[in-house]
Amino acid sequence: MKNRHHTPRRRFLQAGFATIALPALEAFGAPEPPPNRARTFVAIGAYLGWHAPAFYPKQTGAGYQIPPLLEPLAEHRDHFTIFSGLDHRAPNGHDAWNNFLCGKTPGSYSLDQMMADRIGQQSRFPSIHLIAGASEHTNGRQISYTKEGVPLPEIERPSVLYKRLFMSQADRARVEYVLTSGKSALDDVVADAKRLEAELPASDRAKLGEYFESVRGVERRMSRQIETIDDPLPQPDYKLPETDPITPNLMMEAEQVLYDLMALAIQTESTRVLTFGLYGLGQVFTIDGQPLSAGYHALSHHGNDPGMVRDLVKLERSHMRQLAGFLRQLREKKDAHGRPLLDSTIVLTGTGMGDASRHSNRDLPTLVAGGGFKHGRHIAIDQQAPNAPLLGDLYVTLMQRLGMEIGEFSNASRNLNQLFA
Amino acid sequence: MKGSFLVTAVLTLAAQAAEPLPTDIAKTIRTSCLGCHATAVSKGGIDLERAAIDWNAPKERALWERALRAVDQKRMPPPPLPRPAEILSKYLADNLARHTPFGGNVPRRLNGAEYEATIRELFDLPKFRLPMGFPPDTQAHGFDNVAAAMTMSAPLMEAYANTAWEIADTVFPPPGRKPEKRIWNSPPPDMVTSFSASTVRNGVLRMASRAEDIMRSCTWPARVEIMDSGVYRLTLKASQFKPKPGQSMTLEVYAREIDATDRSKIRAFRRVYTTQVTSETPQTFTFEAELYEGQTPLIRWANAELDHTSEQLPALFRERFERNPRLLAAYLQALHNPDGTPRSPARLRGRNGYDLINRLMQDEKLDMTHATLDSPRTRRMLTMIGTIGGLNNLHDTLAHEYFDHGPSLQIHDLVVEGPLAPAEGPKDKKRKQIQQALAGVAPDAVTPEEYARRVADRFLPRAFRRPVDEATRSSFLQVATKHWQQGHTFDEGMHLMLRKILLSPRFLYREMHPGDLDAHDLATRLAYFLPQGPPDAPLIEAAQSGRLATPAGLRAEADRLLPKKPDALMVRNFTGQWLDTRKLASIMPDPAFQFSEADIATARQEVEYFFAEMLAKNLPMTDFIDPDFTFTTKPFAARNYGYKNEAQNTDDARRIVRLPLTRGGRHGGLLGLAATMIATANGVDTQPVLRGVWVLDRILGTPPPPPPSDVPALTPDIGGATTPRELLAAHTKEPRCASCHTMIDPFGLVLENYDPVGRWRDIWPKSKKPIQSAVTLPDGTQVRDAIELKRWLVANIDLFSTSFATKLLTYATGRAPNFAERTEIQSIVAENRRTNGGARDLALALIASKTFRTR
Repeated sequence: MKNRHHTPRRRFLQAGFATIALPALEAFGAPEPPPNRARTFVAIGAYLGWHAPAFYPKQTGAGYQIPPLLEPLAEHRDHFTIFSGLDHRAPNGHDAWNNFLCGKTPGSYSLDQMMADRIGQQSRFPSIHLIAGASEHTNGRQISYTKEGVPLPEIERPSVLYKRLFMSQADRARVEYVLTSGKSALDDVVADAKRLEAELPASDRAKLGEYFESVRGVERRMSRQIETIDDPLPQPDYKLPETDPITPNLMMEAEQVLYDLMALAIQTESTRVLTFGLYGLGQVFTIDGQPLSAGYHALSHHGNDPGMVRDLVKLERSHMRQLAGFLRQLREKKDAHGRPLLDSTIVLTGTGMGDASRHSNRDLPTLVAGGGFKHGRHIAIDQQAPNAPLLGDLYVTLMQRLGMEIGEFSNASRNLNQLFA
Repeated sequence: MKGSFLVTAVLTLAAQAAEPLPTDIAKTIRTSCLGCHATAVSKGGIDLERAAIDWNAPKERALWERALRAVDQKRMPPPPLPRPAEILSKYLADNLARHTPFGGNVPRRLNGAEYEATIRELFDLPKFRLPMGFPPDTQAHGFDNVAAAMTMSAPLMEAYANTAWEIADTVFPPPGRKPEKRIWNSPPPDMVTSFSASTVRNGVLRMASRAEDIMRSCTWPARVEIMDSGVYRLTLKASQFKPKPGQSMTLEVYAREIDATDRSKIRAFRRVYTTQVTSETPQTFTFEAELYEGQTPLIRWANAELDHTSEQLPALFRERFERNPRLLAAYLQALHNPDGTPRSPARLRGRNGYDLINRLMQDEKLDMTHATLDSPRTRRMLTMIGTIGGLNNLHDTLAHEYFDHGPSLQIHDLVVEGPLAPAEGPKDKKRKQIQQALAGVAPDAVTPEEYARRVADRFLPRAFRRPVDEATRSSFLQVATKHWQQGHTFDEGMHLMLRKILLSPRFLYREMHPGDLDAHDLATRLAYFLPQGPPDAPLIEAAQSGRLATPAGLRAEADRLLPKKPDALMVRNFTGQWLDTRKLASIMPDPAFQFSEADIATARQEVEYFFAEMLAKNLPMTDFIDPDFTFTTKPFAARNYGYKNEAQNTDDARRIVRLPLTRGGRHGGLLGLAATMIATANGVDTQPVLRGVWVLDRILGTPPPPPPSDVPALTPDIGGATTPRELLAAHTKEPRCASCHTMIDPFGLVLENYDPVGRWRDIWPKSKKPIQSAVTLPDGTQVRDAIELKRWLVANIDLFSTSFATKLLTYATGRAPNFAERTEIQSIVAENRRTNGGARDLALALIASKTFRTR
């Protein structure tokens, strides 16, 4: 019954192996990155896609007229770039949705994890994964996959994210107990395992050697965590809502709170890689006092019916309003060097589904904000052209902007540095 | 020449145990092999020149096994050189079989599925799942439970440590919070509206359906989440909207987990209150109910007319059409094209559909021609409405008729207040049950020390799957007592002890001792192979009493534990990996095939039902290839296998049934199943090479070596005019490719009549040319199509049976059988055929084998 597989309210300490807090190697206020170098990456993916005709401007280049879906973002116009015509040539269907960050092969090493493995390791959280609006199990449709192809759990509750980021004293005492008693359990286990080992032939001892080696690895990590448990943590003054807005029709409220916390996480340099999944099923939203004519998923299957499309765009604009608020915070908040956070934060907004009405994963609406790029244009890619660039080529450019020396992603082995810098 | 003689002499001296080669064998090797593989040449790094073979040296055995395989597969000596004398193969095979020791595996770490099943069983937590993000298992020899690949690493260890922590938390939880009393007000705007389950009109929530799917029928407050299990007071204000005369509306309140999926059925939840709403003026109902941590109340109108099944839908429409011919005319128009042909109700979604109907009704030019209940067009439409199973659109659209014109159940307000008193939730009850089961006594009935002792006595042998000696027992016991001495609570001490157990190699690994398995390791192997969990009580008893060590005892237990049902874990896990049907989850057929996710599930189930039937009914091995039955749903059979769809209703259409099949036909058997043909294609095109390799590996048990790394994968049917056959012909021209592709390609091409979802086709889709599937098999047999291939396989059934037996034992023992073991398998297969044994007989004989009983 409880198969949504998200982190329960009480489980803020463990659960989710990639998101266990590590002591930060770099203290708050890390050296100022050189210009043309971003520090943080945020990916926002809409499970049911973005309605392309309302997302893409009619004109290309800088003088485009803002399309209806992006109107809420108008104030940030000079801080983002719209891409049309890009995709991963991935298979179609809901189940292939995770091609968004995985590329051509759904469920393979995702962009954010490539980044987390290379640049995420210095911060307390190598990466943070969030979701809003999920009313069913999302197994197999997660955004993020490790190098080994393991989907990573997503946090849905603001209260859990908050506790992870900014532990209270009581929480810390608990974590310290968890770590010290955990280490002692391992010590005890090793002592017993040694007695077992003595009974075994040489060939089996090698197998058990793996076991001892692994235990030592975990102990080392735990020791480091124990040593730094009292290091000062940022304690922002933020008031969480009384109830976690996890019911799917409170999705917009959840987005707002999670965006607030994401901005705080970036400001406190708690992590350098964040993903945020915008999910959707049957929830019927009331927007500007008007209930929409159908549930989110039903609207996405609009079949080009004008009424359905109108409501779908209304709904997606509501997502964009939340995103605009996030970008505003990133522009207003400053890093330790007095620069707006957005200058060093790449915000990629996109989807793995180009047209939910047809379950097509071609031509994925994509928007990149911040990161120190030159923005303000609509870059239209002609998919039919020979050697047309792929979405992966844009991802290579994003990775390079983060200082990663990497030249390929999934089926892409070029970049868009010429078009977009 | 002189030099090589010297080397040979020295080698002979060094290898005391070596057996000199008989003269005729030495001569055969010299003439057939040494041209390239003399010491001085050693082509490909292979040196076969020696006067004697040390059969006890594993490296030597591996070398000669490789040589034997090359000779048997006719790869060596490379054609056109003459074949070596028959005596060589026989000499090598005899010696390899005689000198290869059985077994040779290392301890096996429990894989993810085994770990999960073990926790479920040990703690009676049937819904336990590995936490998301848990590192995956790697496959070797085609399976994810092979000992050599079940390595341990620090991240995996950390995952085990965290998981052990979570399990221990369930049994001996950290101290809870102090309950806080509060009041939640939930006016209708704070209630969940999902699809067309409800809507808000004038600040009041209206409901219309009693569908099983809660997201189509129910509502619940969005901002209520119970933090403390307890008794709560609920105050609910409800009324009727435009009831039928004398109608009484049954209102039910359930407790739902707030994080349960919205796809839940109503029966998943606990009902806490039922009442009758009988008036159009609001009635207030106040009652007390137990609500537990993480829950929220859920409201349902239990006797609504609308229930989201197809069967009753025509009658409900008919009733409304009778009252309003314009409504009928509007639906006729919405569900028909201008030329009068029926039109899909896809665009009638929820209120949008309702708005469309209303617009049509208000249209002055609405065509009333057919708008009578007995017109042929109306009758046809009503039939269609009653048969399009699973389509919720029309129900959702109709719901809005109820919202606007009644009858509808109205909710005005909901107040939740509490906790008035604490209550024990299911988690608390479960916890006490587990605590009791671990020790055979409740913690508060004995001293902490006594409780821990009893856990050690009772639980340790279960967790470690064998009796536990005193030193081990006390080392685990001390964990708790030491922790208590340091001032920690009872729960914390037990928590730590439990974690130590769950991290011990005695728990995480099985089959610790090499050689012949002792009774406990044998029981464990049997348990994880068949029911796929830790040994159950009868099996432990059989191990302890010594019965399992006897052939009859082992057979009896194997017979008891062999899967009987298609949903058995063993059936799913073994077939999914053996036949690659696990891949189905990640292959999404191209939309052109109109193959839904439900169809994919059906395809997988076909395999599982088929395999379970083969074992349960002990059917002949040839039925794996050419059976006279298949399992599928009726609509699936109609669309994919050319049956007539005889499904009576939606339930009947979803059921997997056994359908008769004429032997020698296109479908049925492992080669004619949708699942295997999907797994060997890419969802868009067929992949003849992939299918050929699959047949060689999974059906015939003779996988070809991996392809050279510089060859691009073949994409068939490129350019429209070229057929896959012509493309593949390129392989056989290139000598470097030919040695393998003369084996691979025929088995792929002959299956070209199965499209990427396993339907029969006669034309290649892009080139529009007739499919030519006639091939010459590697043994020279000419077959025209898949049907003749099946006939060939049936005639050579031992090839398949041996392959199947090898896979089954690889899966059971966690290692690839070695030469001696394969020889044993071959003789078991031959004996099983000689005695007319079936699939179950074969499985039982394999479990009785020395291969199975050795680590």
